[in-house]
Amino acid sequence: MSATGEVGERLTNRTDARPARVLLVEEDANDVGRVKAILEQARASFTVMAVAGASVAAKELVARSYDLILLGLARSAIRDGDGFESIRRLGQSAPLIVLSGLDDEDIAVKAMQRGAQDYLVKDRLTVDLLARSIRYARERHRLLAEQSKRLAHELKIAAFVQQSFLPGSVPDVPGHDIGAHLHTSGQVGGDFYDFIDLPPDRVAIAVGDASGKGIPGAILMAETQGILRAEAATCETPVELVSTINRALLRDHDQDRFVTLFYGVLAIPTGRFTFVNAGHPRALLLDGAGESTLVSTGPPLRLFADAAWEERTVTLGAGARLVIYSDGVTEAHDRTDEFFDLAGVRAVMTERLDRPAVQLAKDICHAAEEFESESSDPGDDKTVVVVRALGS
Amino acid sequence: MALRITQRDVGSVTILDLTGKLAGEAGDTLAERIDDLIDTGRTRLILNLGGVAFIDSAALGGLLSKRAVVMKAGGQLRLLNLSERVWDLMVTTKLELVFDTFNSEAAALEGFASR
Repeated sequence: MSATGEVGERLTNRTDARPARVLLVEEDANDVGRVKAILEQARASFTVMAVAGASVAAKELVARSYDLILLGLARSAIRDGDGFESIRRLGQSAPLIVLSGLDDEDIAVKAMQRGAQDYLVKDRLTVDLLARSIRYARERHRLLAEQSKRLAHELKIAAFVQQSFLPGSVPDVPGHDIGAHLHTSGQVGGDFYDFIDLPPDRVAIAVGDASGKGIPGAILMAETQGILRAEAATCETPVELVSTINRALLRDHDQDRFVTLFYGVLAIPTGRFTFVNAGHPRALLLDGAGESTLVSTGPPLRLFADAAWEERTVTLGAGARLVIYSDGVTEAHDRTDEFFDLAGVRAVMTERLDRPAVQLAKDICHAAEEFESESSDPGDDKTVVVVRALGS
Repeated sequence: MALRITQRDVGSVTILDLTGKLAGEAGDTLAERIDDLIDTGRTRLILNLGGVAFIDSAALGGLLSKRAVVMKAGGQLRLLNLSERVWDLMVTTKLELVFDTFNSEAAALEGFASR
């Protein structure tokens, strides 16, 4: 048995003995003939459909599934990125090998960077070379697909674990209605909120945002929330807690990630709310006196060992509404780069002032998501906590 | 999400004029560009943020980190022409006390010249 024969046989075996379906995208009729002839020599393991141009190829990939795409580059409209991208996207279940001209190697290398499995110079094609490239391309593609599936599965588990970090329910606080909503832009994110009972008559409210999206943000978020939960009950004041978390986070070594945190303690009988805003967006307080904002009282956590924070106190009188949110809400922007901003939060609050807190939190998040729905940028995580002080 | 970076050298100072959003991958692109400049010995850097509508927290962290690297290399990283939104971010995070910020290119350059 010849080397070529062995290759053809292995290919046949891997695809359950049926010929591999090959889409050959090539405008040059001579090249089509040559590639077909070479594939035929590798025993009858392939059925080849030859098409010219990216748009015909795209239609073909929509209509039928293929085991392999051979993409000729020379003198082709596929030189442009869009053509390549549409073929790669539509045919992502099949490995793609680029067949380039002698002067197209730089384009071929770019194609590799964008997901092609291999590139071969057309004028140097041989049966052995093409058959080997196809075998390796299909094997690599299969491994990548497996890895991708495994990663997606692990992310799904991570998302489930992260969801479990959120409080299972909002605290039942006499005289107050508290609600929260969190929307992650990816499967996992860097935002969090928490409520901690501080007996006998106080409750702590936290909203945090770890910089960085995806897994890095999620890990830092989990670390921060873990420290917060462990230390909240033993720290006398919000400043003491924030300083404690900062010291703990600074034991990590990398310097470029930080956490913004709004942390406040509500004294239930009096409505006095004492807070630290560590680099977090200003919270919005609407009450009988009008509107005020609870601005930053110090830097984010995990940046400076000598950081200091001020503590402030406001009173949530009957009818007051406090909205604490993450920057993903106010920085939601539309296609024209208009931002949702505090004005967006205010608009929802003013319009629906008497709705339950959890509904207000959801409404604000949804309004911000809707606002950015046509933006080409991926949105950020969004968290909203609303506290309503009920009338006596 | 595209960020456009244009480089101008004014004597020993390099000015990067930035246009777009400094968010997501654009933050990494800028960080790599700053690393390249440091590698070639150019450590007197001004980032002109006049065309930057918005900076996300990851990119802000990246700027802080690059500021530290530039200073370690004996240089400085200065910020020029911050929009109201970017300035608000600096005030909220108290990083306006950390970064040297300027409203005019002449002032930003002058500070370097006196060193």
